[in-house]
Amino acid sequence: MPHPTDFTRKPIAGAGIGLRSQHVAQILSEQPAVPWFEILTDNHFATGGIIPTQLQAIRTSYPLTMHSVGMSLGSVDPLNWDYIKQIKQLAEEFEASWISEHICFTSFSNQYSHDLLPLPYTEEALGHLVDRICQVQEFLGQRILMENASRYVSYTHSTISEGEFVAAMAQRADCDLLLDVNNAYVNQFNHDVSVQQLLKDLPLERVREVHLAGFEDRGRFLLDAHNNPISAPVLELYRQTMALIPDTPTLIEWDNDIPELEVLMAEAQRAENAAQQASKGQHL
Amino acid sequence: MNLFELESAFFQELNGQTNSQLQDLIKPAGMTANERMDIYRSNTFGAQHSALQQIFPVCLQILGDDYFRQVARIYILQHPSNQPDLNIYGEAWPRFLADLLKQKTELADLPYLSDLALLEWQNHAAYYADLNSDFDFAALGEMENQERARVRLTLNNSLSLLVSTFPIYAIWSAHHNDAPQAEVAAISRPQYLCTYRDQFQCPVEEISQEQYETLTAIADRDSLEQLSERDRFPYLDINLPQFIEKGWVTGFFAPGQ
Repeated sequence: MPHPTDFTRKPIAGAGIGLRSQHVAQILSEQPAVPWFEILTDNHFATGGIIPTQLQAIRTSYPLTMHSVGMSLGSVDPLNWDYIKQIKQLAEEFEASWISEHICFTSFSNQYSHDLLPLPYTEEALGHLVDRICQVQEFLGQRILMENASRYVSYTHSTISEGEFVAAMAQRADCDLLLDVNNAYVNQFNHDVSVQQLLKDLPLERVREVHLAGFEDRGRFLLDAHNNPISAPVLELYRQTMALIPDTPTLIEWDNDIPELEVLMAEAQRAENAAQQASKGQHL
Repeated sequence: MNLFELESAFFQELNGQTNSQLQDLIKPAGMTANERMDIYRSNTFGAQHSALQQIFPVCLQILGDDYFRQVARIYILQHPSNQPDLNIYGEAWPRFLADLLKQKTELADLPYLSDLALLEWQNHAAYYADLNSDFDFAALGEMENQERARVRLTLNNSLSLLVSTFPIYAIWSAHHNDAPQAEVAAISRPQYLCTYRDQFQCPVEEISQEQYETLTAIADRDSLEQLSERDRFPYLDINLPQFIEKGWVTGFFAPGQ
């Protein structure tokens, strides 16, 4: 294991890229100008072999954040402490700048969906989620970032809007937020809700990271497929968002049909340009 | 419907059982509740199907995309994922294929498939095995002879052993090298294989019957004295140093520790 001082001390800033195994060798050999990387925690639990060794090498040059999909914080199942302990160990070992998760449930009765399932926006779900975020934050010794998830289902018994739910969660759990602009756009299309209202409702001062990705247009709905370039309307929404929260670190996510690293770097540059235009008050 | 009931119903739907109470709670907005649930069923299946494709690439090549998909659908329904980490999903796939081979006449030409799947699983699992410490020769050397005789050796966490009556190493190698499929016929004597992690690679190696049986005895926690019993493992003096050098044997412990 490298000594902690072997790691770079650069802050998380600008447009980073989600680290995927296909690009690791190229990153190590070429050291591209990417400000930071985000890892999917589940892919890095191995304690020996090539996976942690490569991550250590990357960490010496790039700051890292951790993104998790399996804490299942909205689930009525008991918290999976083995999983959460692995996350804590990984975060300490690689000095991740922060850890993020999703507002959803992914398990029931110890069966995992491997997809982000939608919670109802009810007081019961809110209280349950807040309680579990608090437990996890106390164990990890830090605030976590909670991300707005894409949804294909809305419930008739929800009593508040998504924005109100997220705002109340952040305030009660004293957690930070990860705003996925693509998810917000996808949800607007899929549920005919106002993304502008979402932005008004959210406590934007708690947003520490923004996600951008490409959706897949399935005609009657948009699929949050992470397999395309960022669409023009999502980039415009991002520009509007960055006018409200300038300098917030932004991440390019691409998980399916993963292209060359250069394509992801070009996407990151598109995001950087949009953020700069936002800071100058320009439209795209 | 409270949160427990909703989550229970959602998973019923994911598992293919309609829950009308949940469907009644879903806003249609241009699509039926069932169509909306189909998106989640598709995503859930897709994630697990993709994991199986990545872990068992040779099985995928042999079965073809369509048949693999059909078989994966049955497997996923029968073996719901019970871990958040998809990298460890698929452990039961080889046994599942072994059962399938008995039922599906169209698989009659692929009797080696479950052994091959087991090799693929072992090879995949080697990448994710926990790290071992280095063999502590000094500590072993400091022991009294009597104490040393009672010592049990420990295998590398990443090491797996496999015996097959089919030439699965040749099949596995041929598919990994994009070579034409090797001639597949039952071989006259069993083939002994081991897979493990060596630095950054996870090779598969053919080993001798005695090496296989010695490693199996070590896994079964036979003591050094038992391993050294006369005529049991004639080549132990040669094999054991090799096992340590290759990192297959990584340590030892005294009984009761």
